Amino acid sequence: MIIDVNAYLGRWPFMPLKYETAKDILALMDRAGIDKAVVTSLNSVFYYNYEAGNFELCEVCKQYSGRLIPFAVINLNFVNWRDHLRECVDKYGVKGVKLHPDYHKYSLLSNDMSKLAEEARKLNLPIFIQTSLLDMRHHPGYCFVPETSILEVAQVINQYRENVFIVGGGKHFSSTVQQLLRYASKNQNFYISSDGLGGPFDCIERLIEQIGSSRLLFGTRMPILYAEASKLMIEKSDISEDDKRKILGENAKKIFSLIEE
Amino acid sequence: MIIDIHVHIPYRGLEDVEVGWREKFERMLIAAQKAGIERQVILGLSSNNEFIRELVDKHRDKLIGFVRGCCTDPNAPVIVERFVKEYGFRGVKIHAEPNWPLSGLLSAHAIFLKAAELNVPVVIHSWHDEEGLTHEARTLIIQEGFSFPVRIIAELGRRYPDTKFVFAHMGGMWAKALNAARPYPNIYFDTSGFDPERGIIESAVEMIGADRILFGSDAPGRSYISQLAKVKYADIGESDKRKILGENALKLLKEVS
Repeated sequence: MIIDVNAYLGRWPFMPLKYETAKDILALMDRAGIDKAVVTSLNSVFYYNYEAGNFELCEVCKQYSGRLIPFAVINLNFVNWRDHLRECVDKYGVKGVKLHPDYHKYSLLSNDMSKLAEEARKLNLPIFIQTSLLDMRHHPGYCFVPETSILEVAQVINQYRENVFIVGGGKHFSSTVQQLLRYASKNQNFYISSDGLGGPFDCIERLIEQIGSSRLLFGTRMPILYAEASKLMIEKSDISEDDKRKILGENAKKIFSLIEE
Repeated sequence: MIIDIHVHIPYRGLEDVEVGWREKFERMLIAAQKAGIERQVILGLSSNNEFIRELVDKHRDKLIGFVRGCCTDPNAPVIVERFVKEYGFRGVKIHAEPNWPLSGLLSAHAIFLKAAELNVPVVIHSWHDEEGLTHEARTLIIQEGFSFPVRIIAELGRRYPDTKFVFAHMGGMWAKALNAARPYPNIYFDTSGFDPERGIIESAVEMIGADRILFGSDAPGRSYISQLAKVKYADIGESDKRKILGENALKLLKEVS
């Protein structure tokens, strides 16, 4: 089974991408041969009221529960984020938390992050930290958003060792991952989403040599990126078929079944 | 046929090759073949063009050499001519150099004229346009000397109608770059080096047409497969994909006099 851990529904505000709805994303999944996708709401990143984006997403996911797995975006700048997260889990069966500290402008070192880590442990939810949605060099000048510091991400991983983290990112993500591995080298409680790993030419092989295949997850960041780019990179890499199966779905399946336990 | 117009020799910094680059390049050749890329244009990144010559001589059926045009070297046009005429190189690469930022591109006048005379294209590194960026953005994303004013694209297009320019990485700030290039048929772009973002190739085809877009990967820094996916899975017609993936490059490279 092929599971994409990093897809989005909703509107990309900077250009029409043509793929915004659940049906659009399902069509992209079918084209790329993806069985299930973790989806989060782009509207939750950009709306004034991020909760509205999560509710839209959760309603849609109810119709496609066999294929779309909802993660709720949490904005720690909103006082009652905990109530909202509870509602998303209790009412809609949300399977994880997605953080965009870059757009939402909060620090991962805040007290609220500590409370979120505790809440996520209680609810058995992985926390996905997306350090950037897009290579900063392509941000329009009127909306330049510096990506989340990987040092903060490493600090969070080191601090909350009982939590499960997934990390995805933007500009030169392979280099960023190398920094992360250096600063959080003692911990195994984090996974890397593959969507930002666009290079070097042998980056998948090199990363597997370093961390093994159990901690890399197939992610696409569709519709912002082409889903096939990340999938083909894994499928055509010089690693074993067993490793490919793990990355493309088995690892994610394991994380989600752990959650269900 | 798939032709990759933007490949580097494994390098360290801008002016030096990596230790073990020959072995690494052999692995790159295998990876490119696996991706379905038949020909690769190797761009001189450091001023030492001889390394590129060595590779091209060894793999004539797979590689095409572009000579590095060093803009601070008054002898550059002579070097360009020698590499094109004597060694079969098919183009020129221009990049920022120590103490020579890309904003000084107009001073490469003699190289541009020589390229026109030889009928070879000039690939120019282009990415970081400062105009319209905040101070914070400039500090975070622009390396010293790498600032590339997009307006210069139009200036070059206008001043040198007989020189064919290929701006790398879709000009960096792609929407502005494509807009600047629109009136000038001698301006091309390559698709290399940025993430597989949906909408850029589609917009390029819409704004300047598929005939002026060339596939490039920016390997070894980028994955051949991932970069190819940008064109193969773009929402454009199949004939446009064929043009971008190889036909345009074939035409441009065959026109060498």
